[in-house]
Amino acid sequence: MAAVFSRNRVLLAALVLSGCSTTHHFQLELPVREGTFQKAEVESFGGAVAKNAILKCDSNGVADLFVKRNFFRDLLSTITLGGYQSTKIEYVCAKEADPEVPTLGGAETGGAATDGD
Amino acid sequence: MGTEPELRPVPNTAWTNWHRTYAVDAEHYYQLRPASGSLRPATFKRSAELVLDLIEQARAAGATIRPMGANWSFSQVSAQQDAWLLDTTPANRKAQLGPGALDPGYVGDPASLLLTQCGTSIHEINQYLERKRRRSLSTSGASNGQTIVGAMSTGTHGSAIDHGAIQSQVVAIQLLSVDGQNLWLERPSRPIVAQSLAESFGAVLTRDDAKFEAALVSLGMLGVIHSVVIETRPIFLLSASQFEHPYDDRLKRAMRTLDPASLDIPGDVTIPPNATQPYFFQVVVNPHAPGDPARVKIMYELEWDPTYTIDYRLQGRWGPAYDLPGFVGKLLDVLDPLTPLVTTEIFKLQLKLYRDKIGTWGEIFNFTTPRAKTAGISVAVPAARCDEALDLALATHARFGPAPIAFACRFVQKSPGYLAFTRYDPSCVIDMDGLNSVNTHAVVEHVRRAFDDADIPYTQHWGKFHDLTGGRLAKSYGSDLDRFRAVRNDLLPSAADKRTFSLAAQETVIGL
Repeated sequence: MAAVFSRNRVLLAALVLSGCSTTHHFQLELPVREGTFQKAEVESFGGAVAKNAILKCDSNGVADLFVKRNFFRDLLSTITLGGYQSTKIEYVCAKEADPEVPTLGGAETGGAATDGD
Repeated sequence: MGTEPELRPVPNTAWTNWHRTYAVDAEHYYQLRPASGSLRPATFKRSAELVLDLIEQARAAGATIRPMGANWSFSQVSAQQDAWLLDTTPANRKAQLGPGALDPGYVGDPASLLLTQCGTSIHEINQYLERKRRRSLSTSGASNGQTIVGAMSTGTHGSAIDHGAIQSQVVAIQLLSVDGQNLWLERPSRPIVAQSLAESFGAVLTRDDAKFEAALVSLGMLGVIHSVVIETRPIFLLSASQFEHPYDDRLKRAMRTLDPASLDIPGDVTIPPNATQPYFFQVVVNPHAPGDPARVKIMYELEWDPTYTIDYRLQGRWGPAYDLPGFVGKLLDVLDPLTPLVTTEIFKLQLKLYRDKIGTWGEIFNFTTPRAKTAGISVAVPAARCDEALDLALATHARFGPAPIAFACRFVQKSPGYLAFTRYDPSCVIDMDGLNSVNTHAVVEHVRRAFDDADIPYTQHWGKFHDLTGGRLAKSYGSDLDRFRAVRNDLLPSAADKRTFSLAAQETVIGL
């Protein structure tokens, strides 16, 4: 019981402190990354006009997506009855897989080559 | 025909390391991208030429190049302000080496060798070796996001008690430096590739112990490492358990000797028949609960089971939020009294007890969910003085704390490389990981001073937060620091050459 109580206090403190901003993290199942974090932002007015964001990754797409929320952004949306909405994200690109691993200087070098599981 | 390798400029990049402990606005930022398709000597050579051209451009401009891996380090060991940043992460081509690519004097199984480009991540290596070749790394760090060259260049280690740090698996290095130097470095006592293979990459085969030892852990201060050959082992499984054990003389003896025979291992932990020694051993102590048991992680090697299915995929589940360490770190800087409670709760959350978890090396040391604003700090001491050093760290924390950290001891054999921080035979690495708060850094500095005062020899992990002074470096590395300097003077004779591969944070203290 004491452990539950203390854990709740920790969570409460974290919630109070983190109430102003939160980061939601989405990942690929196998997040093999290249490069550093990049930023993008989308905004919309009443669902009629929107600024879209372009994610600058090659065809391999995104490995990690961080959606940034904060109190003031949500308050602005609430005050405008949802008319103005914006979301900031950060993302990391996924890298292209090595398509095939050759053997230089001769035939297959043994080992238990397999197509995998 | 596919695309050629490319050095793609991405000007004005706002760079941040993975743990968000520092940031750099890079006016000059380049990505080294491989040719499409699989590795071919001609395109591999072209890739090296592109980097050599960039080196000469930087040298002519009086600029510094910082080659970078996966941005995994906490310390300012990769990117630096005003440098030209070379992002190697896309460069992930690999090749097996057949008999025709090997030196006639090569002794070993060609199937054990893997040529891999600098930006290949540990996960990519694990996945290829384990799933396609039924082979494995012998050791790596605790997670898999680093690049192979980033990890070796900072001396990243695990806790495989019979192995050195990650660079102990590297048997050849392709180093690109000023004046078009494209060197294929090997140990004279361990020839690997045929001269014809090195030449097909545009490289000069150079069998030189000093250059090899210097390049193994070189922090990007000798040049750009374009590729390496690693030596792998047959695939195996691990059986991992984490349990509580009193922090008593039996545990301390196991830490000093790396012989867990004295441990009181719980009866429900399965010890494989014929297992004389665990493969992996780690001890974590919570300094905020002195009487509480330590948490011991132990792993035994199992024979590979051909029916076993490998699965690296992440699973969505509840856990500490991404920003939690940052918030809590700030909280504890102003509310010290909460530190023991918070740290103990995090300790329990992060170090759950379990039994007989089976996996390959790549599955056990899989993707980890990153957290912003955490702190990683590690020192290595001789294992024979591990418990003495840990007791001193605990006493220092009791005196100057509290800080939101726990102490983890991991064990590594003496590792190659003049600047390998796991240089003791064997080494005990004391991780002081936790939240990136003012108190954390203050207490850790007191621990370092306590080690200085007690004359406990120690080194600091290059990729984690450290406070290296010239005096501490000289004391840690002794004549090996001079050997590293000599190789650097040989490869980079002039001041302009050295500036091209300068690491500002170390220049002043190393005096290079």
